[in-house]
This record gives sequence, structure tokens and C-alpha cells, in this order.
Amino acid sequence: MIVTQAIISGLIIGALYGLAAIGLGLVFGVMKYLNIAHGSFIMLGGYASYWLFALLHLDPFISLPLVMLIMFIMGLIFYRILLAPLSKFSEDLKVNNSLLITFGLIMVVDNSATLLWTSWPKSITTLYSGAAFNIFGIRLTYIGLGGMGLAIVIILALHLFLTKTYFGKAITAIAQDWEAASLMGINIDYTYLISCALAITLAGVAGVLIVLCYSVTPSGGFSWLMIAFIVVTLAGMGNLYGIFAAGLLLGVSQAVGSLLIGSSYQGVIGFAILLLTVLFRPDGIFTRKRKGYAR
Amino acid sequence: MRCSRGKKFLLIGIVVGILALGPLYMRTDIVGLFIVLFIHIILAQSWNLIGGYAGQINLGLAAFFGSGALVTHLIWIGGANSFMALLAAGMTGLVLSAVVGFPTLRLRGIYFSMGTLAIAMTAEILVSNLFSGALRAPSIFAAGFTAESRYYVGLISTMISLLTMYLIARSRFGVGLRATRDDEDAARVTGVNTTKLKIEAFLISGFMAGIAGGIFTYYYLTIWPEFQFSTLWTFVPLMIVCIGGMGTLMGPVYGSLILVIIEHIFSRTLGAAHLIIFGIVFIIAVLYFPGGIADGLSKAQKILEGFFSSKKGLTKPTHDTRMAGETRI
Repeated sequence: MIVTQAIISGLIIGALYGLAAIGLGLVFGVMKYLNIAHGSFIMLGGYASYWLFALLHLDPFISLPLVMLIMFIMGLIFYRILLAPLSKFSEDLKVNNSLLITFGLIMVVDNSATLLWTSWPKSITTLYSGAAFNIFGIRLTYIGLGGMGLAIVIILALHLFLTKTYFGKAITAIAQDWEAASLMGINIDYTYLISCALAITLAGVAGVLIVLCYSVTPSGGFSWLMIAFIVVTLAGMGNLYGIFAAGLLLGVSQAVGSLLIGSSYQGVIGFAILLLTVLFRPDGIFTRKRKGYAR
Repeated sequence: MRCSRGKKFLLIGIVVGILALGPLYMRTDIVGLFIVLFIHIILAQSWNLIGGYAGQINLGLAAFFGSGALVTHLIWIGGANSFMALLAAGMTGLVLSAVVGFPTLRLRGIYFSMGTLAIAMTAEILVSNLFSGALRAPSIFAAGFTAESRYYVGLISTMISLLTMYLIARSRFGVGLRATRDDEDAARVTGVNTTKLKIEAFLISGFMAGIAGGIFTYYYLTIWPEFQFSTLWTFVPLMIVCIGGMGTLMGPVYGSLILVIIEHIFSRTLGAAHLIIFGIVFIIAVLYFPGGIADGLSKAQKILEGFFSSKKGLTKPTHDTRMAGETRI
């Protein structure tokens, strides 16, 4: 029974992991930039939801579209100001400079957040926050289930967008080979812009769920960045479709693992998984054939 | 205007001489500021070796620096002499970099960056759980340890690290590192063992960062483990190198000079907000001035040279066979 409970709660948190990671995977898969500030954007999404709740008393699930809009605009600005100028550098320098710039952005965002909201944890407590029900002896919270449902809906919507619409196909094409895609008449810059804004929007949604289930702090972005990075590595860098499954896998293995070795070492399990993946399957666990080297 | 070899050595000799006699004529707080400058130069050179020369972005320098500071403190309190404590700090940095470097440097850049970031985060959490508040050295240590001796420890370590960087930059090893940075595939094809070079560079870099932490402990005597392991100690050296000029010998020195002065002024007047300004300046520097101050200075020198030679109406015969874009050491 305890194991089942652990697996179920692992699945619930795993869905959140998948949602937190998909934005990072999208930016890396499409643009080959590593956005270190992804965790900070997750936190900003959480803070946006917190502010709407504290100032306007909007329920986080109702204010979600508004948060998504705010984060989308933020993503547009982020790409235009910080990532677009990087395109003048050569391939290797692009990755390095994106690391440096987004690291600088972390300093700006985190310290601004500390000034605006202090470094104390903020969370949203609604009427239904603690509410839960039992089914077959397993305790489930409404928020956990709602969050998981939301994550699944968002991921499905993203999947449909990427596979069924023309623009989504263009994004996939660029992820596979941007030079060939640009020869086929796809506007690279515009596609980058929109996919970056989408990624930041998804980070914001994850942030809303985090502020509901846990809490946000200005420096908390780092730990969510690491989780997102572990999930993306597990799925294989640039492989968008494995990310959700990898998130579930990480969530379940953390939940079950913390039963075995204690919950204070939960973070260690994540790092162990990262290390093993990097050592043995640097292209991710869902890739069948290993290429010559990993990027 | 370009200095000949002899003139260069004379200049370096004069600067070192002025610095070596420093404590004789400087005010105590200025001596302190110089020690802070030395710590920053060593840290920045440590980052520069792996980031500027080898092109691997280390985002966890704070862990190396912090563990150096912590180990020096513990060993020193334990009764070992100060030299051994400093050496132990360097060795800690080296061991830590071996732990991160061996799994991640076999792969391309981002794994290394995220690996170092992960180590820094884990170390920060671990240390804040283990030690709370300040760790003070007993007053016996303070009594037997004057400001001058701390100054000289800093000065000598800085000189050694600069000399090391100078020798590395001119050696085959340095050329290999730069080749790895510029095009890893091409370097590999030409027979450079890029993984080995990167790991060696990272070990040296970790050693230097540990030493910087040790000097920090010597200077302040009291350390705050949570503060030493904070992201600030990754960000400041990174910013110094990017502003000064990545992959140059003198860039980090210029960068440290400017940043230590600015930080000294800003952190008093603005508090935490100065980091926001620093972040913005850093981003602008990376985006629009990738060469940094070192590049700007060499450009300015060239313009001046052109200006003076045209004024005299003489065209100097150029014996310099260097290529236009080549990095000057």
C-alpha cells in the first residue's frame, strides 16, 4: 500500500516535472541554446500567480490564462533582447554565450525578485488546498490531481500543435535541421521567437502549479532548473517527445527511492540518475542507437 | 609604442616592486582592498583557464572557492601550519574538480556546465545544513598574523598564478586548449587529446580556486560558509573575466581592478541592488563586447600607433608577423 501511494504521488509530481522540463527541452531542441534562467522563469510564473491572488483575489486556476499571457510576452521580450543578438556568433560560441547570458539573467531576476517579494517562501492557500479524498486507501489531493490533469492537457495540446499545425511542423523541422528548414522557406527568426515565448509560457504554467502545491522563493529556481535538466537529459537532449515520460520516470523513482533511503536524500536520487545517464546513455534513454558522440 | 621584451620585463619588475613594498606606505584598509583584489585575480584566472582558454563554462566556481576556504579553516584550527592548510585548500579544489571533471568533460560543453552548477548547489545546501552562522578562528591566530603577512601570501600566490597562466598560454598545452575551444572536432582530428587537456586544465583551475578560498580564510579569519558557497562567488569571477577579456592573460587583472573598486563603492551605497546592475552590465558585455577590456586596449594601442607614426611622417617597418586576429598574450 505504501509503495502504491508512493508510485501515485510520484506520478503526480512527475507530471509537474515533465511540465517544468518541457520549456527547457523546447528551447534547447529548437535553438540549441541552454536557458539556465529557465528555473527563474518558473519562479516568475509562480510569483505572477501569487500577485494576482494576493492583490486581485483571483483563483490560480482562473488567472492561469492571464499568467500565460504575461509569460508569453515576457518570452517574446526575452528572445528579442537577449537571445536574438546571439545569432551573430559561431555555433560553439552560441551555446557558451547563451549559458553566460542566461546566468547573468539569473542574477538580475533573482535579485529583483528578492527586492520585490523578499526572500521568504510565498505560496497560495485556497479553500481547497488541503482537501483530499481516499480511494482504495490511497490519499489523493484535489490540487495534485488538478495539476496532473492540467499538465497532461498542456502536453497533449503542445503535441497536437507540433504535429498537426503547419507552424508546429516548422518548429519540428528546425529542431531537426535548421539550415534545411530555412532553405525550405521557413522563417527561422520568427519560429525561434514564437517557440521561445511558448517555452517561457510553459515554464509559467509549471510555476503556477508549484506555487499551489509547494512554494516559490527567489533562489528556488535553481533546484527546478536542475530537475528540468535531469528530465531533459533523461529524455535525450533535443528529443521533445520523451520529456513527459522521463518526468514521470524521475518522479516515480524519486518517490520510491525516498521510501528506501529516506526523503532527505531525495535530491541525491536525481543526481545519481543524471550521472548514470551521462555516463552510459548520453543521448537519453529513449534513443535506440547511440550516435558517434553526444552534443 | 609596442614594448620590446626588455621594456616589458622592466615594467613588470617596477609594478611588482611597487606592490611588494606596498604595506610600507599603504593605509591598512587599502592593504585589505589589495588582498581582496588578489583573491579576485586568482579566482578569475582559475575561471579563465577553463572558461577562457578551454572554452568550458564552469558555473560552480563557488563550490571550489568555498571548499578551499572551509578546509583551510578546519585544518588551520586543527593545528597544522598555515602553508599546509593552504596546500590542503588547493588539493580540495583539485579533488572536487576531478569528481566533476571526469564524468562530464568527456562530453560536450553543456554537461560540464550543468555538472558544475549541480555540484555548487549541492555543496551550498549541504554546507548550510552543516554549519550555521560564522566560523571564527581563535584569537591566537589573529594575534600572530599581521596584515603584512596576509598581504604577502596574497601577492605571492597571485604572482605564481599569473606566471602559471603565462607559461600555460605559451606552451603546447595552451595551444591545445585554445584549439579545443575554437573547434573541438578539428582539434580531435588533428590528434589533440581534447578530453585529457580539458581535464588537466580543470584540475589546475580547481587547485587555483581552492587556493583563493584559502587566502580568503587567511584574510578574514572568520568565514561564513553559506556566503562562501553562494552563487555570488561564481558570478563575480565570471563577470571579471568577461569584462576583462576571455582567454587573455591581462584581461582578468584589468577586470578585477575595475570590479573590486566598483563593488567596494556600490555594495555600500546600493546593497543587494548592485547585483542587478552588475547582471545587466555583464549581459551587455557578453553580447556586445566579447573581447572585453584587453581587446579594447589592444585596439586603442593600434589606433594610437597609427596616429603617432602618421604624425611623424614615418612608416615603421613591420617586423611583426602576427596574424591580424591572433590573441596577444
